[in-house]
Amino acid sequence: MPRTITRYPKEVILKDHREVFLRPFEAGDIEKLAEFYISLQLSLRWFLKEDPCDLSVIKKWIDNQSEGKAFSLIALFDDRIVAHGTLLQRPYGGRRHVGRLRVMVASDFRNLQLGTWIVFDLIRRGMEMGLEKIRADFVIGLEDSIIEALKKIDFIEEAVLKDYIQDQNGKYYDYQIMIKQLHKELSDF
Amino acid sequence: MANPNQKIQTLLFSEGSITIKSFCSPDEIALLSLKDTFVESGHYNPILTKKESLIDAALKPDANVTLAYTENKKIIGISILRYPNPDERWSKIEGRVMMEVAVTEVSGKWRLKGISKNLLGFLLDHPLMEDRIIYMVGYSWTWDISGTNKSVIEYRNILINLFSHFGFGIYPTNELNIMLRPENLFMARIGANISESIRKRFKLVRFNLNE
Repeated sequence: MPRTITRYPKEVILKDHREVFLRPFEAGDIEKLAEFYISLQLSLRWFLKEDPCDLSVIKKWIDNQSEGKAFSLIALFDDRIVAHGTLLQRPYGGRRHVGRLRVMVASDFRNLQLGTWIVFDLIRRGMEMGLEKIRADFVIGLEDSIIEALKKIDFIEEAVLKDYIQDQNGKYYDYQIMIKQLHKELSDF
Repeated sequence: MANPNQKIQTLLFSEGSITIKSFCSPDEIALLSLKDTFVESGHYNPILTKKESLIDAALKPDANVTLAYTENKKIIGISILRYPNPDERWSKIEGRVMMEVAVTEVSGKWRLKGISKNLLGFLLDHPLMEDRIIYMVGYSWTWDISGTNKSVIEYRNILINLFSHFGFGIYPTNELNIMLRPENLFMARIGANISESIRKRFKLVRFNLNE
């Protein structure tokens, strides 16, 4: 994975004047990240592909980062992780040009543009990695605010998988697949 | 009479010699030409094409118009340091604290020779340097990357390296034009004499917040 030229930690002031620092996720953050996910509502973390409260899962994420398969950012308020975003890249095959993006924000830090800051840094990172597209998937009805936020930064609603996701009570939800094209150069309009 | 802070340097290239001069006065600019070097062609759309714009900039208080020009008086490099317009967000910091590197541009065939670095070095050799927050904005739609074989993000990194050399750092801001594209860039250099209260104000203004 290429060297990032964006300097961290990056200080961001939220709409409510709270100061948050963004920086890449490191091995020393494993327990704090588990605490962050434990504090999230089960209904949100239920839809992840792995249990983020399991330390061995988070250790695997660190390994992925060391192997260049992922780039993870955390947002810190004081000493607490309040958001986590990841860009995953497949090292082999026909999906190498597509990054997968995932962002989670603590409930008391939502609607303050924190998620947007993280997504922006991950998009920039994707451009540095030479990706051509970024894909992000969301559960319709539960993650509508992030869907709307990403539409404003040119993520396109590419497809909807009907009744694809099931919550912990057996209720089905539609699944939104969003894609952002990353352009290496500007068009000649 | 030349500005007492003016500096002049001559650089030699295989194409000929280049003079770099800071704090160019309107009279000095009037003797130079922008024709042939800063003209629209193909993908290239220069920010400045009229000498009058340079003269206007040179007349502004504390401004530094630094130019690079050939032996036959053709301008091949432009860099301008000036206060932001009153309607810009950065003017919200009172007391003329903010100054913008408004233009840094080198004409096509003179690129990749280190002229930008020389221009910036002279531009920032300013007596108010430590009393000001000097900033630059990089909008990718103004970058002429055609023929460079560089992507916008690679060009962005070149700009970061160039400005970092002069003590600039990347600062996040929610200024709407900068937020339009992830590769857009805002960098600043905070002078050593800038007070803690101004630094705090700068931080809030970057996020469009009031005290």
